[in-house]
Amino acid sequence: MTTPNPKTLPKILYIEDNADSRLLVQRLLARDYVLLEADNSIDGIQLALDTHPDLILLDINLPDLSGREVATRLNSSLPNTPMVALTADITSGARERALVAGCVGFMTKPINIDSFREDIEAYLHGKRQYAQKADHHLKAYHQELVEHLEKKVHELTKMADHNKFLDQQNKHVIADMQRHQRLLKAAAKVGHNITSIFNLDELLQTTVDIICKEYEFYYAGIFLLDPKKEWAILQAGYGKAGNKMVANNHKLAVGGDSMIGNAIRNQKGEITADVGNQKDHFKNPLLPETRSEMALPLSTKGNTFGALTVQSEKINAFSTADIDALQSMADQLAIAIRNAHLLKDLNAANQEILRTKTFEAIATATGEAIHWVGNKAAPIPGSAERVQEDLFNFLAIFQTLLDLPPQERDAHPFAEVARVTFNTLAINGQNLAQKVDELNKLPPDNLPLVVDIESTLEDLGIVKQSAETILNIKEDLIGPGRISKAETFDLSALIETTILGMGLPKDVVTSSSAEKLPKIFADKHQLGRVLINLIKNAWEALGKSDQAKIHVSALPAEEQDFVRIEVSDNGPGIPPEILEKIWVSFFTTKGDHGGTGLGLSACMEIITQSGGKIWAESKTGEGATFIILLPTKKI
Amino acid sequence: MPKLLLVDDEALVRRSMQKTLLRKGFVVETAGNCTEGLETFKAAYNTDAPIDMALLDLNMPNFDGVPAHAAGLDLLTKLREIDPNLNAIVLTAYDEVDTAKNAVQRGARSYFVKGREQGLVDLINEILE
Repeated sequence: MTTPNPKTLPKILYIEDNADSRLLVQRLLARDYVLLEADNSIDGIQLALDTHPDLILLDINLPDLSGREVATRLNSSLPNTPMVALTADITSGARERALVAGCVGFMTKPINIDSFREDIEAYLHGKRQYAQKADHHLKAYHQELVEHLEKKVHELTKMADHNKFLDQQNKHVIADMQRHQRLLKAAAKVGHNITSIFNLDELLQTTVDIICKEYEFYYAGIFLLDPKKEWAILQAGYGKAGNKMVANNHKLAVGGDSMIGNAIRNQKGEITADVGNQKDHFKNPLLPETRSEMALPLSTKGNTFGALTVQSEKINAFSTADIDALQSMADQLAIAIRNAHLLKDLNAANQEILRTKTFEAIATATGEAIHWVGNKAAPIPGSAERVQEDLFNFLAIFQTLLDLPPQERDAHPFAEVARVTFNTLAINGQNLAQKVDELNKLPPDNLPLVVDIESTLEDLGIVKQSAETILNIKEDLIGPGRISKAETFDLSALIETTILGMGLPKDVVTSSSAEKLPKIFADKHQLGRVLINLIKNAWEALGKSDQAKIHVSALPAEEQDFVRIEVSDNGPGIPPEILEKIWVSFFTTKGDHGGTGLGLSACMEIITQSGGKIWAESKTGEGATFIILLPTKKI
Repeated sequence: MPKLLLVDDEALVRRSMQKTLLRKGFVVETAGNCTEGLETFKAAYNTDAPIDMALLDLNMPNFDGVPAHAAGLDLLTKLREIDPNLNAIVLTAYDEVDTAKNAVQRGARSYFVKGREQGLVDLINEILE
C-alpha cells in the first residue's frame, strides 16, 4: 500500500470539548483522513471557515454555543459541507433537533468502533438523514434558540450593568486618588513650610490656610497649651472667624468637655461625624455651618503641645485618607512646635549665659580695679594720722614757747626743735618769711579764716574718711575673691544662726525649712555673708520699720540636686527698670545713706562660684523676693 | 628695740608702713625687691644687730626681677635657710586662704592683708611678745 498523499485525503473537522472523545476519534480516523480539532464552538466555527473541511463532526453539548447552533451558523457559510452530530444525548427529539438545525447525520456515543469509519465514509459520500415531523422540531429548535438568545441578552445586560458599576467605581477611585494627590501635595507644602518658616505664628496660620483651601474644609484652627497646660489657646484660625477668635483670645479648658480638651487629654484624635446628632455639642456662633468636626492632638515623643481642629459643612466629611493625612500633618506640626520651643529655651539659656558672663566680667574688672586703687590708697590713712599727730606736736611746742616768759624761750629745748624745723623748711625750699609777710598784710579780722585749726582737722578727717571708704570697698570685694572652702552642711541651721546673729528686732525675720531638706555643698562662711546682705537690704528697703516682715525659706528646688532659698519682704518692691541693674557693682539706691552697692554684686559672685544661681523677682508695691539655687553636691 | 626688715616693691606703701613702724619705736630696714631684701638681711645677720622679724610682700619682682605672685615666699625660704628661727609675716593685697596656708607651711608666723597699718603693728607686737 502506498502512503496516501495528505493533500488528497479528505479533511474532517471535529468540534468536541471532551479530550478523550477527541483522542478516540483521532485514533480511528487519523490514518485515512486529515483530522482537524477544536475544543470549543467559537474556535470550531473559525477553523471551519478558514479550512473548508470536507466533513464536520459536532458534539452537541458544548458550552456557549451548542453543536446545533454551530451547525445552523455554518450552514449559511458552508452550505455544501456535511455536518454530522456525534453526541451522547439520546433523549427523545435530540436526533431531530440536530437534523433540523443543519446536521446531515446523527451518530451517538459511545462510538461504535467497528462501523464508525464506514459511517463517516458514507456521509462523505453524500449520505443524508432526515427528520420526521421536521416542522414540529424546527419550531422546538427555534424556541430553544430564542431562549438561549434571551439568556445571553440577559447575561450581557447584567455584564453591561456590572461594567457601568465598575466604571463608576473607577471614577471614584480616580477622584479619590486625585484628591489624595492634592492632599499629599498640601501635606508636602506644610512640611516644606515647617522647614522654611521659622516664625511659629506664621507657620500655624499658613497651615490652617492650606488645610482649608486644599482640602476644601470649612474651618481649621490650631490651639497651643499654656505653660501650665490648663488651657488650649487658639493661635491661628482660618478666615475672618479665625481672626476674630484669635483676637478674642479664644481658649478651651484642657480638663473640659470640648473635643479639643479630649484630644489633648487622651492624646488621641476625636471625630464627630454629625454634630447634629451630638446632644451637647458646643455650637460656635462664629462657625454656624459646621456639620462634622475633627480634633487631632499635636504631640511628639509623648509630649502634647496642643491640638488641630478641622471642621466641615458636610456631614461625615472625613475620609480615612483625610484623617491619615491630617494626622501626619499634625505630627509634623508638633515637631515644628517642639523645635520652636527648644529654640526658645536655647535662646533664653544663651541670654542667661551672656548675662551671667557679663556680670562676671563686670565683677572681675571692678574687683581688679578696686584692688589696685585700694592698694594705692593703703598708705593714706596712716599718713593722715601721722600728719595729725605731727600737727599736734607742733602746736604743743607752739603753746609751750608762747606760755614761757620771753627770756626763757631761747634756752628751752622746744626752741631748738623749732629752729631746726625752720631750717629744714628753708632747705626744702619753703620760704617762711614770705608766708609771714602775707599774714601780716591780712586784716587782723581775716586771720582766723586762713589759720583755722578746726578746718585743718576737718580736712584731715575728710582725707582719712575717704581713704577708709576706699579700703572698705576693697575689703568688701575680698570676700568673693577668696578661694571658696566648700563643704556639705545643713542649711536650716545656718539660716537660723545667721538671723539670730544679726540682732534685728524680734519677729521681723522669720524662717522656715522643708522637713526633708537635703544638705547643700557651698562655702558656709560666704553663704552666711550672702544671707546677711539680703536680709540687711530688705531691712533697709523696709525703712527699718516695725511693720517689716522678712521671711527666709529653704526647700528642695524643682531643679534636681538643688535647694531653693527665698528671702522675701513686704517692702515697696524693686521697680522693673532696675531689677537687672541691682547686680552691677556700685549700683545703689541707697543714696546718701551709705553702702557701696557692692553687696549684691558680691552675692552674685559668691553664688555663681558655688555653682548656684541668684535672681530677684518683684512687682512694685508687692515686695521683693530674692531666690537662690544652690547645689546639694559638688558640681 | 626689735629690728624689722620690710620688703615691698610699692615705694609709697613701703615708706608709709616704715614710718608707722618707726614711730612705734621699731628699727626698720627696707628693701624694694627680693634680691635687695636678701642682701640687707645678710648684711645685718653677721652684725650684733640682726633682723628680728621680716615683713615680706607676696607679690613683687622675684630674684630675676620679674614680677611674680609668690615671690615673697621664695624670699622667705632663702631667709629661713640662713636663720631657721626667723619670725616672718607675709603681706598680701588679697584675702587668700591658700596662699596664707602656703606661707605658714614655708615658715611664716602669720599673714596680713595690707590696708590698716595699726593692725600690722598689733600683729607684730603679738608675735614678738
